[in-house]
Amino acid sequence: MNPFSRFLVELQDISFLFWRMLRGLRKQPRYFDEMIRQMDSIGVGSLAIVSLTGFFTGCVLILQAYPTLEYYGAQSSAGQSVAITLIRELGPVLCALMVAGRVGSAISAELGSMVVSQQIDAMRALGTSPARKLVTPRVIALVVTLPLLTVAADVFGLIGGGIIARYLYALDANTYITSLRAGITIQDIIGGVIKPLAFGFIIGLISCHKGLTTQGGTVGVGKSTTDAVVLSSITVIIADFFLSKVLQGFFGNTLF
Amino acid sequence: MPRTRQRIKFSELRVGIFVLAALLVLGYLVLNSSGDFNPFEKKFALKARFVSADGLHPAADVQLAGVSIGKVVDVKFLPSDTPDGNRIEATLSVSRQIQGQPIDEMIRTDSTAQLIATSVLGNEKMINITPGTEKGNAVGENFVLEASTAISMNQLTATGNDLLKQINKLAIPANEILNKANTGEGTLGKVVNDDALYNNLDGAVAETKETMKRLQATIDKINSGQGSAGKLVNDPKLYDSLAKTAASLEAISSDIRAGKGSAGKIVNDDALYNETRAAVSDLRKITEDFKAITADLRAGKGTLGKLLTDDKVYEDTRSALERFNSTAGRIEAILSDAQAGKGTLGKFITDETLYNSVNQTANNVATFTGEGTQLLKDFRANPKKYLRIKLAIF
Amino acid sequence: MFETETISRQQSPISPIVPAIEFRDVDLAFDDRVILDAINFTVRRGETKIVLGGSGSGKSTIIKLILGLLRPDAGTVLVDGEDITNADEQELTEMRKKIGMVFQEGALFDSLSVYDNVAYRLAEEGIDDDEIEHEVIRMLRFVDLEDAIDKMPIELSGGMRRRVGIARALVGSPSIVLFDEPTAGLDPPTARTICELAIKLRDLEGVSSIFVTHEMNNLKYLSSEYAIVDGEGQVFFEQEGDKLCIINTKVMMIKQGNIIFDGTDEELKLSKDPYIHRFITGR
Repeated sequence: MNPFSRFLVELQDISFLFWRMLRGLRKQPRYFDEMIRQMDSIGVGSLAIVSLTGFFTGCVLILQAYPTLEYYGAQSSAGQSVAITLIRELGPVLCALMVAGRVGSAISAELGSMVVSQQIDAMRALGTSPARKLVTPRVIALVVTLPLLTVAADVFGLIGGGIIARYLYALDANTYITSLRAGITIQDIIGGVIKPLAFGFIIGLISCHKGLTTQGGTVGVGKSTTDAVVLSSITVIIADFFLSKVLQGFFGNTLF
Repeated sequence: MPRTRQRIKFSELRVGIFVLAALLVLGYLVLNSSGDFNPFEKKFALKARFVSADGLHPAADVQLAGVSIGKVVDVKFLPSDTPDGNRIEATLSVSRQIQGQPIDEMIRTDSTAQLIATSVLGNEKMINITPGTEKGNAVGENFVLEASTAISMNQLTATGNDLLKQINKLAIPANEILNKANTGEGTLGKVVNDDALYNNLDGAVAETKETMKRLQATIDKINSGQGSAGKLVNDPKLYDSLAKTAASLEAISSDIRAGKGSAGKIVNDDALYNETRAAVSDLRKITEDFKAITADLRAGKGTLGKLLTDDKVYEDTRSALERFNSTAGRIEAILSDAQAGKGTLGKFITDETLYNSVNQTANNVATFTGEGTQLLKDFRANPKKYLRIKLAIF
Repeated sequence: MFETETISRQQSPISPIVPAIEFRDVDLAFDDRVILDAINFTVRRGETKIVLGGSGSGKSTIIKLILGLLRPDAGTVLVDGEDITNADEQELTEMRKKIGMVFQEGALFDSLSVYDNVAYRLAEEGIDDDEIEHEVIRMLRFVDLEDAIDKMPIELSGGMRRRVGIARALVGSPSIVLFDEPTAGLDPPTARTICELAIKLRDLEGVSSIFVTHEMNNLKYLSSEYAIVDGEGQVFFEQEGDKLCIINTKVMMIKQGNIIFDGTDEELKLSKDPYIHRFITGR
């Protein structure tokens, strides 16, 4: 099978999975318990790494941007520069990448080993659709928790930036906070929350698809895990570009 | 459902192909939503020529009456024999239709293209095309639009620069002159500042005046018949010396009167002149008095007897005449020195070019200093006026 | 022994003449490798079909085809007279409710306890907790694993996992039960227990089944013993004798995607085919 056909097959399978997942939402049973369980393991479980990522991203942003801002005498917009970069771009994308690495791999490994040990077959034999039972709760949990995780990453990033600005560059804390409040618009925040919605959906769907199409035993599990992380990360970044373009169209490309 | 085979028929991929197509269309729409990316739209090519590109790059915006309609595709040099010196040709690619109207309805042959700065800062340029009027015809593909000038920030800055340069040009020599005058350099400076010269002139004039006064007093005494006039009359030596003095004085005064040499000129000018003239007229008066006395003596009129008999008067007159003689000699020496160009005064008197230049300079200084002083005064009184000019320029 | 009738056996309205499972000219290939080549066979109601064959002969594939986990390239698979070849996932899900499946390694859900594993199908159907508990305990008693009810699958031995798998398959009283190598890798007494469960299902419950195996011991037990219940509800296993011959157990042998034998165990033993002979005798 040539790469293009393989790509089309993957795309088709993902589309079918998406469709089955949607049907899984429409009909009983909806597996709310499973959703809550997944939200716990995906959302709460990722909070620590996402917060750390956000915190140090904020730190490094101010670390790198401040000397330049100082050169132009624009120290007072330090908070703004961090806020816009973090909330519009880095927060959603880095958070999605971290979650893709942690949760995407976990999902595809779990589903992959279920395939290998015939648990998926057993599930189907017992009259349950794996798409409904396994995929829907995971995707929904990701779509719900990723924006929340992103907000957490944003907040920790802003705090981290503030700490660096205050203690490394001796910028007045009030100046930083004022500049933050002046710099963030409601459009930035809405855009920064819409993006992770889409990213969560992408990560969930791709990881589930990769897990469910695992072939070739335990080696196959490893391969599908790798594929899931790589493919969802790349897709997240590609989608980020197009989403940014769409959001610009909606909110205008406001520049400071 | 696990796939049982690797080879896949086209019909089995219908959904995949459909989804791919949908994604591609979506991506295209997203990119095209702001109108910057539309590879399938056929564009309309126009050209515009300018003297200077002045910061115009390919991909710069092209606007029609301020509405964006396309991009600059290319900016290139034309061969040197291009008329009007408009050697920069920009190729513009604009939409064929704007809101349903064909582009050539809006851009006519009488439309002009202008280079416009995109911002006050920086030198980024875009092209604005003025909408055509009904007088013009529809433009064809690759029509060359005429360039019209819009005052750009650049040009404004250039004008300001020229102005500044000229002010600077004026300011530097004026400053130099004032500086030199202040430190006593140059001819003008010397004239203005050299106290010795002034003192010399003043001293000479004062001395002459003093001498004249005393001479007058003596002559008055003689006239009134005091002293030993007989001795004076009988003594040919005395007479000779008197005559000689009178002659030389006359020569000097006539010389001065005739304005011979530079001395005449100098007396025409300032206080020196007046004083010299007064001194000369005094001299003439004295000489005439002498002549009258001598004539009286010759005729033996008046109190000559007394004069002739009184030895003391005779002696007094002699010493007075001697002193007069020596004074006249000194004046003569000064004047001859001056004529020969010796000493400061001499140089001053004899050097005609110096004189002219001093004159000129003095005139200039007078006017310039007047204005300069005015300017400085004004500047001191109202420095903001001048500073504001500077600020407004930059 | 089934005291309650709340969960009634999924009885097909179709007459007993209609076979439980029927394969008609089923072809299946993975790329160029032919797995099944024009397979034809039927499993009648109440009949147990023992599928023999070497590794990779396509035995497990037959079971996956019945469940609709795979689709044949050509031919028709009928379950209770219904063509499932082109059924969509939803129809297949309905059809699968009639079928109990026992996987090779048990295929228990690792994340669920024994109780939840067995209760899975009922829980999915939204049955009351009380009823589920009743049924789960009944099934675990049937496989003799009441003690393990709160354990996780990881704590169980291989044989116990198979038995939990059987219990899970039997919940909801399916009319068809499929065994995929249920005794592979088990010690003979445990394997014997598994076979007894299959015999009980056949003789006492009237379940149609396919029993995929490559072990001759299983064949011996299944084709020569029968289960009876005495008045007190005790189950006994008796050897077939001269007066009673088991007719509801058939043997089918597959070699390289082809059925090389289909008949009773007696006929199998009389077969002249050298491959069958070697398979039976192990020589």
